[in-house]
Amino acid sequence: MPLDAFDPDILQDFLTESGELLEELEGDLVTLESTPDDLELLNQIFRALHTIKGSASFLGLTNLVDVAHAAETALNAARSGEVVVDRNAMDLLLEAVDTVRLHLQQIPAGEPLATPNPAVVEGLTRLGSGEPIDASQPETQTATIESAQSASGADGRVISRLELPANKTDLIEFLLADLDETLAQIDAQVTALREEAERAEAADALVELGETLARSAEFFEFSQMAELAQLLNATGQTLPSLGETHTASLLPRIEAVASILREQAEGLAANNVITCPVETLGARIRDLLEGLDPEDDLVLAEDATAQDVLRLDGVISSGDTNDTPPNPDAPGAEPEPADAAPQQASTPEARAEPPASTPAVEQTIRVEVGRLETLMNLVGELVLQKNRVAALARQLESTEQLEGEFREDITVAAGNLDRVTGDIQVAVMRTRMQPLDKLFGKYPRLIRDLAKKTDKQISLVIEGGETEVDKSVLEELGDPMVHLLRNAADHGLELPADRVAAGKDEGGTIRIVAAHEGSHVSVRIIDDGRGMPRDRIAAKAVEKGLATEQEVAQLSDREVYRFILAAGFSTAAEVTDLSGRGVGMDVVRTNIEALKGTIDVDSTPGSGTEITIKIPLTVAIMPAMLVRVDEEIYAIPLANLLEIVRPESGRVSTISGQPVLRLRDSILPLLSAQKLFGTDPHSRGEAPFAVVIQHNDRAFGLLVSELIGQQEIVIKPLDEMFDHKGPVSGATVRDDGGVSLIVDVAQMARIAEHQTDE
Amino acid sequence: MQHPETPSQNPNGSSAEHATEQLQLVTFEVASEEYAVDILAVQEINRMMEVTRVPSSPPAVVGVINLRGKIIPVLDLRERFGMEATPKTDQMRIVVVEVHSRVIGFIVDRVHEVLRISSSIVEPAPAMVCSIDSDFIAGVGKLEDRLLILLDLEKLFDRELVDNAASNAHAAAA
Repeated sequence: MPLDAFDPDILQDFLTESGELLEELEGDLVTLESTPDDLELLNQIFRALHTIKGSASFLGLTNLVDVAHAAETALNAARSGEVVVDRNAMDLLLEAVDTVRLHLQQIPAGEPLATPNPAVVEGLTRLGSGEPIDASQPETQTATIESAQSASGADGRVISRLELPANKTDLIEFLLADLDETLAQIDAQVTALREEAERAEAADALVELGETLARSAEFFEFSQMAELAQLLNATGQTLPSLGETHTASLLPRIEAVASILREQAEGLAANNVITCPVETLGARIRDLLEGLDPEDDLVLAEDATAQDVLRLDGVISSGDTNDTPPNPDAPGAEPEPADAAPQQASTPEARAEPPASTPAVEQTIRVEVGRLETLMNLVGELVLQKNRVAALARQLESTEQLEGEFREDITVAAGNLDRVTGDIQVAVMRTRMQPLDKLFGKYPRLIRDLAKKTDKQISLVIEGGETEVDKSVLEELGDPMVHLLRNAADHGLELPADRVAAGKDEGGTIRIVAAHEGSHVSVRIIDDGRGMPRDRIAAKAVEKGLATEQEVAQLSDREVYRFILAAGFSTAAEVTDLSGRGVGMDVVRTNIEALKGTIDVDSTPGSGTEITIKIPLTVAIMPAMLVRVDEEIYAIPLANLLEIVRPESGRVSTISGQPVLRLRDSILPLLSAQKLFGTDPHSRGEAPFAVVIQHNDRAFGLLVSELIGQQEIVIKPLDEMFDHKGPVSGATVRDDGGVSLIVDVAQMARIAEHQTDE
Repeated sequence: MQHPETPSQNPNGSSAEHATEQLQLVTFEVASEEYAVDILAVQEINRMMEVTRVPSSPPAVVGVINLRGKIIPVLDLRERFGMEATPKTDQMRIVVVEVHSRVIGFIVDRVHEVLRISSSIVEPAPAMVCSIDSDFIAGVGKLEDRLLILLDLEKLFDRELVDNAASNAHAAAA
């Protein structure tokens, strides 16, 4: 199965997520049948399906993608009103859902994915194109299923015919040519490893060779070759830091790996895929690399050769030689050394090697995420209580009743509490932090597949992958990133010929640049493609009724580009397997906003597009400015706060009834917090301060009565009862125990935009 | 305690199906009528405290309170029932209940007592039993000297119904 090449975590994530989405989707579909006009529901179904399809296509699950794509096409036609989702259409859609569900069950069971019922795929596709005649698409059925016909070799080897999807067959020649050369180099480096003087250099070379080979092998879905190549890569990285015993134990094994690779390459030349039982060998090597003690190792005891290793680790059967203890033939079965070795005298060197010389392995412990979550919540509580104590201490300081010394002690204690709490907060947060590389690691493969599908040459450059973010942020960032990369590859970059014609290099580059910016992380996705045509986007925006022609003419380039984030917006002339339905960017924006982040689009026609995502490091605690509005206190996320001004009455004017403030060069729309929050309507309360808030490149001023101060707040969710798109997004407990609501900056920006429009 | 009453007293069947089941209820007063909820749903009963108003929320929702670090919504049952508001009194309480893992508080005029009754004396609510619309009435308990209105908490706090209560109130106001 090609899926073996993926990290089991990635696969598990896909299964969990898709399973959930599918469940919702099915319920929604059933609801849709009774309310076929519910566009929001239709969009929701479409998005769920789109996400499943996207992940599946990343994992190369062709059959699943086919059926999902067909269903999506039909739904898209329904969205645009071309097709009514009637009973027949619903039957087809539900059958498509069933097929996807079957696929999701087949994946963990290790079975090949069933070919979707051609009638369903055709029916849905036809529905999507709005034509009831039969325009059958034979390609949808040419799915790649792993070959079922395979021959089992005498020694646990499985030899199957090489079967490749059509688009990869012509490339296999290149692989074979490369393979010959790569293997020759690998052999040379493995030999060099035996010489202590050359070891470091050879190891370095192996890192690279292993990685290159792994990539090519993955591309052709030769999972075992990829696995072996990765072993070489890992060995190259770790070997120089290993002790003598480990090295001695590893070297013959690495030679064995090289010999298996050689055999597989020869097999490929004859159109055979050879799969050997390498589980034990692989496990041994990984154990050794992790510094596990090899002293009970027969390889060491016997000063074994590569051939011996193959036998000992169960890659070839023991029948080949006759001087060793019995070795179970079954692939993957743990062969004898564990039992047999204690009876054998270990070599003196192995005994002499003190365990202390094993490299320092990073001490880790696996902790259930739920426990960390609990800890994080408790820290949130602690921060609140700390704020409270600090407030009480401040009060005490101003009272006269206590002795001076005592007052001082309390102040000092409160200060210490503040510091310790801060440290704990950071420490706990760090336990949940993970490097973005964990996410970015999936992308080289994604980009290569995209390049292949689009016939483009794309290189991916990742910078700042070591930047750490909260686990939940990392998870939520996954989908938007994949969408953005797809867009960049599919729409952003041009075909090689077009690039040359435009005076650029044949190959395009997509760069992912991540960096810390205060309490935020910014991730930029930059392509050097054709950029976006302002005119076409503007025209489309007018066509979709998002703005009028006059309005569009007034907008800055960035504001025009922002239209691509609107729901259902797509200028791509043709819908492809990858993107172009205009749902992608909508999903991206929604996901990013759910993380309290912002997204910004910039583009220069002819030289590329740059998308900047900014998200908070953590979603649980954030710095905020507390403000009073009449008698109520609200919290404004500090990250969105640009500055605070006191508008002089002379600088405030109105544009069609909407108050605006002339601030330096710009004109800032002013919103009245009293009006928006509906505080006491009879109060003639003053609102002398304008808090300048920025959201996605747009700024506006919020008029408030008083500034209270800056504070770390713990975000608490509101009950579903308040899911009214009101101007608040959550609540927090103040240091006096009262509740303050958190201003929903994104929502306010929308209101500001609306007011300006009117 | 099982009472030997027959189910024939409860011919229509109601949310209290088992004729002789014992119900343990918390009873309280809203606008001179006596209501009851299952004691198992009640988490705690608090004195009135400062409630933070939430902008653009339905009128029946007074706002949110801080219940030991948890932010929970508080409803005014008078508003929810479409009755007129009264000024705060010392007797008013916030009853905190848990409904499907949502924790919600509601304001009542006064809390009476904890009462055990047999489910056999509970009957389904007549369509228009009192001044409130009977959606969220689980049944009516016929005590010797008075009637007890059993509330269906799930319906009482259903988001859509709360919203509708809002629009009804608006319609009434207009």
